[in-house]
Amino acid sequence: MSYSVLELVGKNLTINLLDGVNYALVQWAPSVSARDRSLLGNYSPYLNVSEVLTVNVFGESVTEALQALDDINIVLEQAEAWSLGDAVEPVLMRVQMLGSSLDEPLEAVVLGRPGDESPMMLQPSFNQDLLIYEISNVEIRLVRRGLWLGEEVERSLSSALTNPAVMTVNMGERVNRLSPTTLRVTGFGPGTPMIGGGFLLVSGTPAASSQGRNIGIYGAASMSSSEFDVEDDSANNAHFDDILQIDAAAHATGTILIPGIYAEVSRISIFAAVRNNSTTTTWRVRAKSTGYVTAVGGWRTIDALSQDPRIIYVGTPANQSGAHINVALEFVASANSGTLDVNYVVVLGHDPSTRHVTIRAGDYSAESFPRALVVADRATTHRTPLIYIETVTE
Amino acid sequence: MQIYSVSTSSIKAATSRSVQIDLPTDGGTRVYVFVHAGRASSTDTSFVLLSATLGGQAMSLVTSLTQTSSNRLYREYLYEVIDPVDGGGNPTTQTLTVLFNRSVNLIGLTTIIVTGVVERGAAVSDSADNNNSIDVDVTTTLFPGIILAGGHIRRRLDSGNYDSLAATDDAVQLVKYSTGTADFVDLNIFAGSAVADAAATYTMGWEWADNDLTALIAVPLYGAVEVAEAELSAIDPEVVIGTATLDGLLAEAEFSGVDPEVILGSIPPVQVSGDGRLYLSTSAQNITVLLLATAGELWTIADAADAVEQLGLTVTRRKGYLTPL
Repeated sequence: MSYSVLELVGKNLTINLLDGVNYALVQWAPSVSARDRSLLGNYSPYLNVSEVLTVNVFGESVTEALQALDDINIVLEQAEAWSLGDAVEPVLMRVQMLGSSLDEPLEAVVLGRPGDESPMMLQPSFNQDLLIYEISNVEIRLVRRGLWLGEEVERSLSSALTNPAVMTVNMGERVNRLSPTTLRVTGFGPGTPMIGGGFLLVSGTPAASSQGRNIGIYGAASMSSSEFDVEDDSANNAHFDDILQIDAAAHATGTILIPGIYAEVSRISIFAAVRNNSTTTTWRVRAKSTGYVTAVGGWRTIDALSQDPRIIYVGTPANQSGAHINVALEFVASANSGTLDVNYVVVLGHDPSTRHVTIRAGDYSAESFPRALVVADRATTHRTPLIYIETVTE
Repeated sequence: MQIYSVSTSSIKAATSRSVQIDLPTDGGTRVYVFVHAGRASSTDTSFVLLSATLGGQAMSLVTSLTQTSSNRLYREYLYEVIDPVDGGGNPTTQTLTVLFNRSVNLIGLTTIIVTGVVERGAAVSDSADNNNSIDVDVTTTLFPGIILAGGHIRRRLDSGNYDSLAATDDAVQLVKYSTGTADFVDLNIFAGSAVADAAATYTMGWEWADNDLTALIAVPLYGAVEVAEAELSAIDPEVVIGTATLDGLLAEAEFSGVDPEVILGSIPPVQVSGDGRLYLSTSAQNITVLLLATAGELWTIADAADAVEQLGLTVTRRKGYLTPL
């Protein structure tokens, strides 16, 4: 394989392994990563991989050759330091094939040396004949992120939508690999007292799937119940204006049914906007999926600490049939008094690219800038993603 | 937002002055240069600044002021450069040059680099012919902010003004220096800043021992990216909680108390973030997002007037490859 670009980019040093002055690539067969089968996530859905590159290191003097050799180690040590959490910038490995149609080289973050191995293996010989000082067949051993990252695509909604709207952005093309994605929810005006806490749900249809958009939001008109009554709460900005309300004095238990969601996935997560109007009665709630098979989630408690609306995670029913038809929420009161309101229920069908992100409460009512909620992948800059509120200019 | 560096440079009897400055690559980086110059002549004191450049590109003039005093002419300019590194496209070391149309007795440059700036307010200036103090009021309309101020007083021979020169009111002095001690035309130059953490009026002042000619320019800067204190937690672990079904028989378990966290083996493995390190990954052409949140007693996110907020969405994705192309 021939390359037009192959370099290790550090903060103060760029090792151009093809420059023909200090370095000449002898051989390198790129490692190919694969999906991580671990149930515990580790930054990327793809495994880190080890690389071994063999290079000849040159110089017009002994000193220059040795310095060129040391430069490699300096960059690899920076990569190791970044992985360990030092306040240094990451090292990027950049590569481009000869004849590539890409505009820019691909890049991956270098994480340091493999295991406890030495980052470089030197040979016993040092060639200083013919006034060419060469350290031949130096092995560079490193671990990098499994995914090579290429061009960045950014797309936005054509116009703002009334919260909580399901917002869909067309990226122009699907990609074949799960690729790092940053979301920026904009439009929080100055003085917006956001946010009372909740969730940011993300979904999409993978390239190799035929399922459709898989976030559904259901209001009172889409839900049925024998124990809950429909009430107008538009004064408190209830989504779809109405809420469902159950009175524990009349019904200590109750069920809300959402028929016909037809989510063709194994797992669905269910969220609900609820309000416990009692300061003493607590409620338990669980999710149930029925249809092909029945799957029931564990009970979760709605405490009596707040009488304001809140978003709760109800559960993740899962079944092996690969589809869910009907969803129900079952409620049990702790006492025979107090009312509970439900404004809407959200169903998130899971696929490899779905996530729900917890958004902690924050009071920004005294601040004067418009704001954006950002979930940044920071794939080539930091060790972790970050969720933050960003000040923006209009 | 913070002050990255403060540097000074001066020269006597010159037409131009060049200095090299190191620039950070941080977002919202801006360069502010207070240029002080003076010329003494019994016949012709006039002079003008022909060009002020950073890295060969013209800097933007924010404001300037002029003073005359018995065969002497003093000028102060404030220049600005927004994003001098231009996203990495420009070098991080650049040459700053000011060029006058003729030789002047002194040139003083105070360069202040600030990072994280989103916006700049209007500059405020003042001057006096014979004072032992000077101040300007800067009213900020946004926050958080930093106010920069730069000024000078004429350096009278044998005066104790340099030693006594000090910031007053809300100003914190960053630097003071003198273009020299030999000439009556020399200047004592100073600069300072104030943290503006609320929309209010801040007084940027300096004082010294003996009355003399003085000038002061101040400008408020606003911004920048702010990380909210409560948003640093993690991406929520996705843990399958529920009931296992086997061969069509419902094996329902009633979990009381704390929910056990059970990963169902029959479900394809999922990525679970145990420590919040998993970033969002997508592959679809259409990315769907829903923000669920409340606002106090309201069911949905609302603006300052309690109306339901209109929200936009921008998705940024870097295309991933497993083999080099």
